[in-house]
Amino acid sequence: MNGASRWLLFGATLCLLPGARGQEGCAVSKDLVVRALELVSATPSAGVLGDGILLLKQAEEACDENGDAWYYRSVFERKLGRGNPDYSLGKARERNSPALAAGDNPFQLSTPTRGVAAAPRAPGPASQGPTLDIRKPDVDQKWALVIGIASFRNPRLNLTYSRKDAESVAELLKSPLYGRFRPDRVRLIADSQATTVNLRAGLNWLARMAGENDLALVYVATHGTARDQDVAGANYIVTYDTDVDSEDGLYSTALPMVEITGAVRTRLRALKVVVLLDTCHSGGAISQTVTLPAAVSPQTLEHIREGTGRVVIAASQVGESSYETPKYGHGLFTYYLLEALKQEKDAPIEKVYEYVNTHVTADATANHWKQHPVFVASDQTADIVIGTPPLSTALLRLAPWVWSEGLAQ
Amino acid sequence: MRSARLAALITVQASLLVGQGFGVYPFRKSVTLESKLPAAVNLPAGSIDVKVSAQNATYHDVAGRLQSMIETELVRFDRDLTIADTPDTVITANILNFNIPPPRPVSDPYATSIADASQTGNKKKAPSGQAMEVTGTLAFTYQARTRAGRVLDSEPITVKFYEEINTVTKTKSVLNKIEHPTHPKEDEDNPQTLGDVEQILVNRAAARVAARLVNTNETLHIHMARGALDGNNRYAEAGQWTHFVETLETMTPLAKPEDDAYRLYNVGVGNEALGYKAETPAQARHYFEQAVIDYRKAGELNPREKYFIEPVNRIQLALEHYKKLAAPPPTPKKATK
Repeated sequence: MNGASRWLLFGATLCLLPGARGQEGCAVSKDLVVRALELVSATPSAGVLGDGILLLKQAEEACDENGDAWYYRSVFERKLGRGNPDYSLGKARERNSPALAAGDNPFQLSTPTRGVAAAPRAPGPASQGPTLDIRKPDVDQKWALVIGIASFRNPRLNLTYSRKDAESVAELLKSPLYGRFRPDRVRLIADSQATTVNLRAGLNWLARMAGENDLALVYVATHGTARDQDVAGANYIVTYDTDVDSEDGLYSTALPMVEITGAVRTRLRALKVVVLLDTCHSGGAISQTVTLPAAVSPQTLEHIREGTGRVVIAASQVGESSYETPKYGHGLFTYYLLEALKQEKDAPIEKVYEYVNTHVTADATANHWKQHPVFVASDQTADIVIGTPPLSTALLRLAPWVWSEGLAQ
Repeated sequence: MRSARLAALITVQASLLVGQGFGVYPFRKSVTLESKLPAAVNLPAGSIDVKVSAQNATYHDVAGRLQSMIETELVRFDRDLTIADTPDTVITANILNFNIPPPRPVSDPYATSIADASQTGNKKKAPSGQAMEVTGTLAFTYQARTRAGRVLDSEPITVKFYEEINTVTKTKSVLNKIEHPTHPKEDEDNPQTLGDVEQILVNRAAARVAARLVNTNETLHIHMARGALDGNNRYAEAGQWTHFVETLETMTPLAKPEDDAYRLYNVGVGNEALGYKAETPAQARHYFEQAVIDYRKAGELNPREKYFIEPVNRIQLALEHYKKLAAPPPTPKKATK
């Protein structure tokens, strides 16, 4: 944990001291849990775990009935090898912790950090290991969760093209010419359907359906927001029903970014995952407590890429906005993403990024804007081609050599 | 001389750790809780009229005070209510019993330990392991009816007062209606006169009625068990109830069951406090039910400690409210032609 983060942690602690009791409550408690989870990595130091436990204890103090605070504390304590994890787990059980019910373990990646490309994993009780070589673009099935929100319950948040962006991405993915996703395996959640509950359900669907040999894609086009003005980076995804008029409302109703990173890190078994985040649309300060835009923080990107075959492309860097333009009828990032997926349909994801980065940066500069897309990938890379045909299609299942020898070259 | 005084003071303070208990006034430690109770019944908005009567003519004065106090409490918590002669809701109460017996001496082993320690070096036997027991009871029935005569709520209510006041700390003279020199009248639970006890009973009775009919916000002063538990009480004083409960639940139980009863009592206080802080009625109920279990366990381990009983009554009142709130509304009868 760096110095600035420690100050933030200290600030969070101060908020809960007597005298600042107005900020106590279950909404604040939820945010403290999110803060603790933001510290998580696959190999955390003892100091980080200690900081996490401190935050989780504060979360419990702010809202004793927050079962997830107790549950994650037990997980952190077990990881650290100190404290009384059984006591915390008992409290979590009494309080019907959803995280406990889901069996969430933020420290346990759903994919290994190394070794998969060299040799398939040894068969285990929970998994038979991948049967396909991830160094090739072959995938068994392809799944996509596409989210786009242009109309929010609070009209002040409305965007112009986010929904259209998501619809276009979904259409292109389903196209037999380009994306080659089976239509029933592309789930589009847009506008009034894109509530926090529905987005969680969507992430659960993706985690449940995508197997190890599959390709999973997540596309998100909406606002992201930081928890306060001191934090550079989006901690929360603004959903259709997010209340942005107060921090409490935000913490209670928005989708924490760690839920997306957590799903990708610990629940998505697919060894090929692409996350496309367009969450920093220019919106300015929309209330005293919530500030837009907020791009995806480098820390979040680092967390997502843990494991194998994770690729994240974010629309812009921290401190930049993601622009929409009537010239294309799309957000700049999505417009060039769509172009790339058409023109580089059989190219690896790195090539897609190169195309998007070059064109978005140039176009933004020409308009006197600053927008630089970001690319982050797991150390344990996989050859990911979004447009690759899935093996599960009947024809290819009969003759896998058609693509495995031909298209992969 | 100064250091000698300091040593004596330290000795007295250390002696507080000798045994478990609540201590005696003024060594008693209490925490303040804000009890927010939702109304148990939906009172029609508008006007009310309160009438309190008494079966026994000697209770007429108390009846008058109770009537006034109920009106005050209802209007205090619901500013939209008005007092009227032809009201939307009629609230009636009938006092069945009102009794404040003369204080009687009881022994207090905890007081003895303090008194003994305070007289270190003095060979005199401590005469002051005595406390005065002050009790009081006010029992009445109450009903709330609409103007049309439909009963909104009805129940018998009994409020009690119980306090042991140590004679060493000059509280005995306080009971003889002489104000304590260093403890001015500021705390309901530290009565200065027997008249105060009477008023406390009236206040509690009015609060019970008001709590049935309007959302109330009551300040509770709850005694903390002391002795070996003293160090942990600072978390309660700081409002860190989760940590307070956890520390008590994870510590090694005290060797003697009658001592460990005080640890369980403090766990009950912690759970009760968490109940008042809970965000939803369902969660509040969970904490209150747990607190009742804790208080009852404490009572089973140490049946001689009367303070373990009072909080159970207090919480059951809250539980009744939440149960009533959770109950499905009565299905309207089908209209018949």
